[in-house]
Amino acid sequence: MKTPNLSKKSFHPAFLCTLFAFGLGFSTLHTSLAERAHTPLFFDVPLFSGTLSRIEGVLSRKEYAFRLPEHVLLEPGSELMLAWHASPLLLPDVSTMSIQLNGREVTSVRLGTKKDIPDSQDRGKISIPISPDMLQPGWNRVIVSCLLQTTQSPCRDVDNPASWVELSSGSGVRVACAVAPLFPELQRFPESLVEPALMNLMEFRRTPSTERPEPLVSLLVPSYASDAELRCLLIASARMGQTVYTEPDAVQVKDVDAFKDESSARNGILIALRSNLSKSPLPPDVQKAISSLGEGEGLLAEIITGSADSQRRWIVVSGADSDGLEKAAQTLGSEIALRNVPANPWVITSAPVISPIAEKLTQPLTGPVTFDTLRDGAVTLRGIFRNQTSRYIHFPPGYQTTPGGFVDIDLAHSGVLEKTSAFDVRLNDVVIGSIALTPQNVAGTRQRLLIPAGITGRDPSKLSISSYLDIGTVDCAHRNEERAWLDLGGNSTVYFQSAPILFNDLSRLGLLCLRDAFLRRAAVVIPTESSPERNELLKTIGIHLGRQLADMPVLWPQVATYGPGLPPDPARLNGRSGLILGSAFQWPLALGNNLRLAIEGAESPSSSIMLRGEAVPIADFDSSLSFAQLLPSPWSKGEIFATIGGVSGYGGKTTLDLLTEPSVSERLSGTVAAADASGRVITYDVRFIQEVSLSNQIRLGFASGTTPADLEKQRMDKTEAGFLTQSLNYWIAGASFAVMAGIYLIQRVLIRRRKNQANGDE
Amino acid sequence: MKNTLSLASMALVCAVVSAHAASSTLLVYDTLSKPFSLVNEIAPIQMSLTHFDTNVETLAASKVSAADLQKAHFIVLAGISGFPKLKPELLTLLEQSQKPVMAVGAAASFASEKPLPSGKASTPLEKTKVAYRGREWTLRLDPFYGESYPGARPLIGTSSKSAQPLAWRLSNRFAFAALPSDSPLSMVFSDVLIDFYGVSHEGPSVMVFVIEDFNPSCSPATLRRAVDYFEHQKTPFVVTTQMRELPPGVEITPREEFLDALRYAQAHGGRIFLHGGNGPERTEVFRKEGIRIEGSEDTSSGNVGIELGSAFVQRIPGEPPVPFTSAVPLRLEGGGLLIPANVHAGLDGAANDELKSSIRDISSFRGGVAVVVVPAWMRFQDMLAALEAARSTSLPIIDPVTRFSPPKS
Repeated sequence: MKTPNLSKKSFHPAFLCTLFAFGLGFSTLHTSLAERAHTPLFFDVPLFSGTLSRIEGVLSRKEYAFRLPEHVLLEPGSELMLAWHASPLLLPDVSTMSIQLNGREVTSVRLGTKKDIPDSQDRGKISIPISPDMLQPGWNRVIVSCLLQTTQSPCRDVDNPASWVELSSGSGVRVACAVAPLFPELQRFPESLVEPALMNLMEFRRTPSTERPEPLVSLLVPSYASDAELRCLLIASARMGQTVYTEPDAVQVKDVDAFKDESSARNGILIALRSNLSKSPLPPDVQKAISSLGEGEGLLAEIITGSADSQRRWIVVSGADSDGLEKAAQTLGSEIALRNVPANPWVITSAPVISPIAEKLTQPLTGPVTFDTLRDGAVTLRGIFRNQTSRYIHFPPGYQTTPGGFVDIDLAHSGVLEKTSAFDVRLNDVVIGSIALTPQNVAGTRQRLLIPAGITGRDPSKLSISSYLDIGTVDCAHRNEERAWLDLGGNSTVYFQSAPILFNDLSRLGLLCLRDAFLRRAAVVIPTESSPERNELLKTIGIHLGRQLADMPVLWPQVATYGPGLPPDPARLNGRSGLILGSAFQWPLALGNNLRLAIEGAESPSSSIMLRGEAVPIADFDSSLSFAQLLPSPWSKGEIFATIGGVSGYGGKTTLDLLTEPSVSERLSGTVAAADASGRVITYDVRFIQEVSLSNQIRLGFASGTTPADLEKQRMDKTEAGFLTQSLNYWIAGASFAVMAGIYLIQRVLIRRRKNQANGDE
Repeated sequence: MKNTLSLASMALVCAVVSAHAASSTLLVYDTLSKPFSLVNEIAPIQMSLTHFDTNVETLAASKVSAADLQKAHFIVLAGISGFPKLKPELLTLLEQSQKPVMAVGAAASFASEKPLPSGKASTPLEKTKVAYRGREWTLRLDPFYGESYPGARPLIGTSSKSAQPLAWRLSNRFAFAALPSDSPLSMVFSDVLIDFYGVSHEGPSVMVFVIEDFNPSCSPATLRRAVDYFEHQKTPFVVTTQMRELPPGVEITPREEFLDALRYAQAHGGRIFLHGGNGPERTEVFRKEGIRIEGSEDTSSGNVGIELGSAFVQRIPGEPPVPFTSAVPLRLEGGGLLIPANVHAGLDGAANDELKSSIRDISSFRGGVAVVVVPAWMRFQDMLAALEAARSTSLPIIDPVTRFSPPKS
């Protein structure tokens, strides 16, 4: 066989070709590796929750805020997307929409349909490239400013309802980013753990929930977790809830045995006593620190797991014993304590202390407060028709207003307002009062609005002022903002009278745990028997509590477990109010034999629910039914608990709705309530004699065919009947009194007459 | 007279040549400035010499005496507008001396077998490549007095047509054929001086991270994040701080929060330097709050400790001094040590590319210290990007307080 003739002449070109091909291949490979290394990730952030955002008015403006995570590097390739639908009556040559991002003008769009295309809808979608320096980690602001004219005389369009533009749910920001290397940042908890949720907001807000993505954070607790471990779970959940953007579905609860898999899949918190951590593969320095813990010592550590491409952040909370673990849990629950992490791992020998300055956050204002001491100071509202503003005011949860509080307003306005002009003042969405703007109170007047009793504190509390300013029919030259203004001077004063919140019925069920803004008076009593449902419920309640206390630096709720022959530890429940979770069959185990509930399960002679002593077979109840009943705490005088749960389980979504859903909770009253998955709610008050028994009330209320509207109508009818009865009673009482008085007078007259007659005879 | 001169020359020959503590250097120059220029060209040379532990005496050529030449251990001849006009007998003394002589600028021809008293004319080079220790720069060399002398060993080459070197050595004579007024020429000159002084203990190039001017208008949370990052990377760092000069119209952090952040930094390995001066009363304010001040930054007056910042030279009389970029630490008048702030972080990717390039430049010089200065007002992500860019150069990161003990006065 002849060998190939590789002469010098033929060799060199072949060799060069090979080299060239190799070089090209290498260069391609290098490029693709480089490209892969630099390929940015993308995620979408919606501008607003909901499907539509409407902007109305000739000169209108709306602000949107969105938050970006801090653990990513912003890269080129981001876009701001707007999908809009405008009124078809807008003039095409003058109507515009301008977009500003973080103070920088981004683009302007012409609105309005052309004359030669009548009846066409004015819709559009724009995508504006954004450079990385225009976005920032944390809060970003988009301002949409519009000029929406329907006629050539814009001054006449001010109140024209045809001046509108709507942004639809396709509006948002597509962010290009690269993953930055992680490093332990205990002081940034909880944001450091849950900020991946900011990259999945749209997905987690989708319904139904079956379409939602995988959870982003795992909380790992032992199967048979102790009270201390469950307390840590509740504290961690509450702190994560403080971010507000963390949906309960974004967090899952699993067993500590899942740590190896979970630590590479998502961020999380590993909660366990030292004795329960032996199988968890932790870094040597953390293991060493845990094994060296002394009695009463706890540990907090943050570790970074995973490879460079997919790092995860994990916090380990442990202790040599329950006392130590609770100290670590309380440290995790205190943003103030976490600011001064001395080391990682951190051995904690004592629970954090709350300084007097921090303590003030839990107390309402005392004494008068002037507007100019509030953030943003005095109030000035400008513009024709509706305007609104608000001021944050320190009135924390756990308190309610009492009679005697007032707002003294130093009022001034433009003086050319029509008599329909007025403004109202609200505290936490409750109307305090309204004042008409008349020529008599143009300037230099001080008017007082009394703050009604019973308004509950919030975090944050807001004093809102809404105005309606009408300057009437004037020519265009005078139809401007400068003629419609209202000023509430800086010396305007708010004077609160407040007292600790009262619980008379179930209408404030959702506030039972909020008797202290740091949750130091909150407790959740749960069955010892472990189940995924129990842990999920505890986590969700924690997140919900945290959402209501977003600005509080300390959250220390308590957990106590109970079971057959194992009542809850009274030391954990001393001085606390809260919830007793579990099924109707389990509640008596928490309360002991001495206390009988209006609703409780009974096993003998057959499984039934006792409704004020009347046994109803459990088969008669809808499986989605959940009960709530209020009772004084058997562990601590002056405190209150509510049992809440289902017939044979925790009550699922219905239990959560009772606690968190305003459309359900606002219909609660009395001391006993039942609700089902359809939103039907019945309430009962055991303190008063009722016409209908509890069992009949439930039977009628949850009969098939009864809708929530029917129940609401029944409730209204009952209330009206109550008013009528009361009114009738007053009339009867009044009439009886009048008759009795009349009889008495007649009697006195007759007696006198007889006396006079007798005297005359004599 | 002849006997005196002979004795003097023997003394010069027998003098020990070494760059040990308390050595002396005589800097001889013809004029301070070039003809038709007010710019002081001697000042950068003097500044470069402050890296070395030597007492520098600067004299015009007309004022130099034989005794001056005799007592100096090292001699620098600087020709700014021409060869320094030394008396013939002094020139002869110098030629016969075995002491190290550095001939700069127009005096470069001294570093040859037969130096000409009038020197050589300048032949400027436009856009010439200068290669040194693995780095290459494209520079304009004007004036340029390069020449290839027989027997001379080139130290720095250029890409000029006749391959004239920028620096060379002939026995005890060193030449630097341009005026080392600006960076990177001043850095290159400073590195050549290491061989001139015979310093053998210069360590490898290192890096220092500095968070600059953390004041109450900056975010304490950002500083804490940076501290967590440094601690995780086990990297020493410096935070310079002050409480007096604040930008107008910004929100001020509460005092305790501001001080807490500094304590956090110190507790996690940070060195706190006082920005703008190390006056005892200002240091005391921080000390009372449990914060230890271990150095200063941009002090307006002389310093005895460790100082971060830029050196300044008075180039034009009556005008403000201009920064002098150095790759190596410089000794201060008061006896302290200036660690030059020579790498500045910016906000975008291009700035970080420039940052890496600056670090690579500095790392090519022996004993180079790349001081990466990150302003405390930057967003954390931008800080992280700059720090990661700096780390990618793989230069060791040091703690300046433990590394640089102040020199003995």
